[in-house]
Amino acid sequence: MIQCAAHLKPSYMRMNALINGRTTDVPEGSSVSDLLEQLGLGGKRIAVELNGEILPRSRHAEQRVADGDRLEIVHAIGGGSLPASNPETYQ
Amino acid sequence: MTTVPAEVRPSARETLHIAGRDYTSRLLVGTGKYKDHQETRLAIEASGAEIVTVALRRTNIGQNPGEPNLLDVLPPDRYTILPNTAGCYTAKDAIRTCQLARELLDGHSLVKLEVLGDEKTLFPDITATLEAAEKLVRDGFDVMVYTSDDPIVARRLEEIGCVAVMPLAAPIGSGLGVRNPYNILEIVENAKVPVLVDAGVGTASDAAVAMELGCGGVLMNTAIAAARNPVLMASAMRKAVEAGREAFLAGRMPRRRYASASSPLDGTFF
Repeated sequence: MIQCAAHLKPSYMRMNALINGRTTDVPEGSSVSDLLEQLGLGGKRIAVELNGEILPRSRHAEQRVADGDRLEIVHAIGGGSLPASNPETYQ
Repeated sequence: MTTVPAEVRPSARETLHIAGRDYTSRLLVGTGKYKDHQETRLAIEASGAEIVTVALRRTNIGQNPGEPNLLDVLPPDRYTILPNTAGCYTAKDAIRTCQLARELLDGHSLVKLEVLGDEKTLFPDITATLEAAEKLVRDGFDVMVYTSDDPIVARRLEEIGCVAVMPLAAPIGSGLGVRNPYNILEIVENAKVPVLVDAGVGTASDAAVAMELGCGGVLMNTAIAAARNPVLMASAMRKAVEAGREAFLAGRMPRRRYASASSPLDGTFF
C-alpha cells in the first residue's frame, strides 16, 4: 500500500492555487481566512468564489484551500455602465 | 428650500418606489470614471442620489493592500448600493456577478442587470438579458434591468418580474440624449413598474426630457463624471431631474403650430 508520507514532507511544503487568475503559492493547510490575511485582505469588504461557487463569509475560517483550487476574490469598484478604472475582469 | 406653495407641491409621498423602498431622489448615479474617491463622494453628495451603482472586480492581489475601498466612501447605511453587472457579455457571467454581489453586501438582493452584446455600441444582448433576468428573479433577486428602448422587450422584462425597467436613452457613455422619446413614452405608458432612463444622458436638459416623458428616474454616470466640473454637473442634474419631474406632474401645455396671444384682445385702446 502506498502511503502518503505526510510526516516526511518538509514544513515549508507548499501548493498552488489559482487566485484571481494568478498561480499563487499557498502554504499547506491554509484556510481561506488565512489566505485572505496573507494577501492583506483580512477584514476587507470582499466576496469569495471557490471553484465557481460562492463561498459564504461564515465558511472562510473552516474552508481549507486545496491544491489546484480556483479562487476569485472581488470587491466593489467605481462603475456605472462600464468601469474605466480597472479593466481586469474575473471572467 | 422650495418656493412652491404647499398646496401645489408634489406630495411627500410622491416618491420613487423600488423593491419595497421609497426614494425621494429620482437621480441614480454611477461611480465610474472619477478622478478619485474624494471626487466620487463630492459628486454623489451634490447629486442628492440615494441609489448608487457600483461594479465588481477582482481585488488587487499583493499590490496596493492599503487601497481605499469604495464601500468606505459610500456607506451602505446611507446609500442603497446597486451592484451592477457592467462588462458582462453572457447571462452566466451576469448571474455570477450578482451572486458575488449578494455575498459582498450580506444578502442584499437589489441588482442592476446588464448583459452587453457588442463592444462598439454596448447595446444590450436582449436574449441573454431575458434569460439572466428570469433566473435572477427566480433566485430571489430584485432586478433593475438595463435594456434597449424596445417597448415589447420592456413589457416582457416586467412580466418576468423585474422591479424596474431601464431603457437606454442613447448608447452608454455617448451623451447623445433621448434619441427615441416616443419609444420611451410608450414604455412608460405601458409599465406598472418604474421606468428609468439608463445611459445616454449628456447634460441637464437630457435628464429633464427623460423626466418630462414620465420616467420614474434617470441613472447616469459619464454625464457627471466626464463633465469639466463633475460636482457642479451633479448639482445641475439633481435640479434637472426635479424640474423634469415637476413639469411632468404639472402637465405641459399642448404644442401649437401658430401663435396664441397671451394678453386679452378685448379692451385695447389702440
